[in-house]
Amino acid sequence: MRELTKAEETLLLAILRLKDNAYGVAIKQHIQKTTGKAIPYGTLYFILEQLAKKGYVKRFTGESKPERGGRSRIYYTLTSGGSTALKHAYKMQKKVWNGYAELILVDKN
Amino acid sequence: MKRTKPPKFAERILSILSASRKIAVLGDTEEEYRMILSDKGRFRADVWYVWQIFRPLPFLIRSSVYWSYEMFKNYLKIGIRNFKKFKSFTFINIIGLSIGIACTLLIALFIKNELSYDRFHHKLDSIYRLSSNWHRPDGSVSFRYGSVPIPLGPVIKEYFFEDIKFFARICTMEFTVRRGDFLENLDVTLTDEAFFKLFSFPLLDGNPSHVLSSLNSVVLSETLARRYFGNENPLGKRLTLILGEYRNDFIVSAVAKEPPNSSSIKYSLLININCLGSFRREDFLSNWNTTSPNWQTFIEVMDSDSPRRITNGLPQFTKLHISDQNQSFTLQRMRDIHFDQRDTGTPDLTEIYILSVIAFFILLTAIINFITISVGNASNRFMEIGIRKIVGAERKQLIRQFLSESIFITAVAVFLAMMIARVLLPIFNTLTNKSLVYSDILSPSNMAVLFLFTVIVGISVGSYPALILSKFKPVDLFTGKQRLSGKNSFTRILVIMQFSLSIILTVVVIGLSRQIRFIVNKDYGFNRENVIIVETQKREVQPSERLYEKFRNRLLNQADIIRVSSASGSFDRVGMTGFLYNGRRYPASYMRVNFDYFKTMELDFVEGRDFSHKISSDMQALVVNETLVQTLGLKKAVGTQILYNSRIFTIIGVVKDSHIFRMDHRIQPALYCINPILPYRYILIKILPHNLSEILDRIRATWEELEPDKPFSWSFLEEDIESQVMNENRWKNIVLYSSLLAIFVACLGVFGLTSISVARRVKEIGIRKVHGATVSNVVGLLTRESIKWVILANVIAWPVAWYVLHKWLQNYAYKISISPAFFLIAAFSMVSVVLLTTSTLTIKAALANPVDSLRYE
Repeated sequence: MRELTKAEETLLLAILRLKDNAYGVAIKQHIQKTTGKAIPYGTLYFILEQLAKKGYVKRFTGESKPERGGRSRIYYTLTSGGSTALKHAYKMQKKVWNGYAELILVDKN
Repeated sequence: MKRTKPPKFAERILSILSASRKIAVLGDTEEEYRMILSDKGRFRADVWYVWQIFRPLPFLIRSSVYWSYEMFKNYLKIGIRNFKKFKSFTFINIIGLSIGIACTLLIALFIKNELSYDRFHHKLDSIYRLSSNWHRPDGSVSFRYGSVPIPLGPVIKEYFFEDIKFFARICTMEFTVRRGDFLENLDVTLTDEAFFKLFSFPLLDGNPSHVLSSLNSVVLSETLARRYFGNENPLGKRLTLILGEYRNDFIVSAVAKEPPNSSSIKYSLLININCLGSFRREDFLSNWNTTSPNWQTFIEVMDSDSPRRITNGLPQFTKLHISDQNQSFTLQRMRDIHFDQRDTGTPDLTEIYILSVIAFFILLTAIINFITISVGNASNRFMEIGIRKIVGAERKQLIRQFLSESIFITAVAVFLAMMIARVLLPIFNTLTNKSLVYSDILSPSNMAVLFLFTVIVGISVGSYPALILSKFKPVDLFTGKQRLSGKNSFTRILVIMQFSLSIILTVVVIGLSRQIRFIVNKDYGFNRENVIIVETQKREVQPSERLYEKFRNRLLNQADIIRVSSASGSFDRVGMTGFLYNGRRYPASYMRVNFDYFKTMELDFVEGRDFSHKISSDMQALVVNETLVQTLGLKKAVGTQILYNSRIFTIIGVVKDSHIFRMDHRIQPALYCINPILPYRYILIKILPHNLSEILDRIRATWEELEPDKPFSWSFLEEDIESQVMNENRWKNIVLYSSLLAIFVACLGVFGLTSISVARRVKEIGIRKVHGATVSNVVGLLTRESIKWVILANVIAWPVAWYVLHKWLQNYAYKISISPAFFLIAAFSMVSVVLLTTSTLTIKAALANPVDSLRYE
């Protein structure tokens, strides 16, 4: 299984956190809130499409909203493949960081 | 209401940029836009929204443009390197193409001009011209004339009053115009008052419906007004028009714009046709029996169904006015007049076809060159193509590369072609007898067409090489398995086509010049040498008689002048009439001649005698030609009586058939009389062939003494005859120049191909020389192939050339027979041109030291 990139990981986590409300604007704002970095829609959707292609997320077309000019929201949810990939990533992360986290934290202080 | 939606234009751009993710992205941005709108206000929201458009731009540019730019840079570099490396080929391609395109440009200009004739009339589609047909006894048409008798106009308008709105007769006559002391002879247009209502010739001032309604009004063209009145206002000024005894003052009622170049109807001074009044009524305004090419009658019809009704009613109408059953009238659309062969001197559609075919073929030759050279030269690019393929170039990319190269070359050629066309335009104008303007080429619509043309020619030129070259397998390219040579049958066919075209044109040029020489040198049945023709002004019968007698008596007293006579018509300037015999009407050319006419022209009598002063009954006598006797089937012509001009005439003599009338027409029945039904128009003076200028001066002096008011205009009969073949000469020159161009372009191609094949055979030549081949062996070897092509091309070209020439010659009643010599001369010259072209290359190759070509083996 291919490793998730950092961006993919962040996005998957955002979708997981947002639960039923995971659509473009919400994801974007959530990411901005958690990471402090703005991510353009182009990039956002590019990554979302990659994730959909790999089978980590699923798309749902929601209700159309007047504040969107009558366009529908596109919601994303994690698939089981998605959660496996996240779990895997977390494990990898832990393995990689094992023993180093303390060093860096210590140094910083 | 406040706007809550993002700016429209930005939304549209964003929608284009977001492509497949449109719904989601647009929706999201709009939603966020509203959030910012409510938080921070419209301005910040708008700025934010627009910013969203620019955000992905750097990435977009980088990804899409960068790579194609890199490739393009590479194509450009390699392309320019190749152009430089194969300078001669690039040169051949560009020069050949630009010549072909320049020809196409000029001819397109010509065709555009031809097709625009008379199109400026607003009522074009409701204007018709009345024309006459003369029938043979079996009902087939023997003559078509674009004119009808003068009195027909008002009568037909009356008869078909429900279908004809206006009519306008147009007839030109030469008047002397006097303005103060200024005097000149001018072709005056006599017409009806509806002229300016019917046709869309703009008047500078004056009401189109009234300017000609008064019998003494005159309308001037702008140039003429300036010539007569300078900067004064010409309106209301006086002009005197003189025609023999007729002399009348006219008042300028309007000034008309110059008729456009593309108008079939020309005018400079217009008067009402009825102003002649009773004067000349006898033979002109009320004469139903005669028509002349410069008497035309136009009508405007009421509605689209009128022409049909008029056509149906015409036979009935004709019966009422014309006793002759061989004559009928028809309607002709104004639209068709320009290309109607009834009017001599205008090019008909075939000429346009021929010109376009020639231009197309020259262009085709250039395209063929391009293809053969690129394909032939391709082996030099095998390495490049192979490497591109290995590195991962798709076939599509290779095709694109070659196509852009050829489009680039075409663009350069088009640019050059426009300059060539600029230089050639004056020559082309002389050849085609036109006054085309270069700026017409530069109109925006033409530029658009030219751009399209560049792309199309570029693609057609480059597609074959592009498709062929991109097809190869890289392995074959490197191992040298792939051989692409002049032996390629496609290339060979193309080259043979070029040669064939050049040979066809050459044969036609030879044939045409022979035919022209034939016409000019033909036995005309009369002696045309040393005859001077003095043109008098068209006038009434009596004064012309008096003038002639005085002039003749003075001249005959002078040395070197042998004979003087006169006639109503001269070479190429005769009218048609009809006469009755045994109750049937026959068409004939007619001429009023004077005593001594036949002696002056040295026309021999077959039977009977010449007119004589002593026999007063000769006023009612006729001399006819042999053809007329044959047409009537007379056993004994002399003494036969016919009804002509409502009077009985007796035939007293028969002269040999002669081409007094026109060369390219078959000899028509002709009658000559001395009865004063027509005034003399031409005075013929036979002189001794020496001291020409001195004799001419004397004749002029005599003329000026007798007729101080009238200009002295003269010509040699011989020149008149030669000017008849002007049109033929023009055509010969057109074909000559285009065949030279075609041959030149074809030679460029041969040169290119030979140099390719020589380059390919360098080693072979070296080996042959080592084994003892002589220089001439090698040259023979190298030229054999192109000579073979030329011979094959001859075989193809000859039948076509024969057919073309045969068709062309069918226009002439008297023509040369097509001789095999034409073909042999063409073949021989083609072979020698090809040998000359290739000789420098082949001789150089044959003389080369074999060591140079073989030392790397």
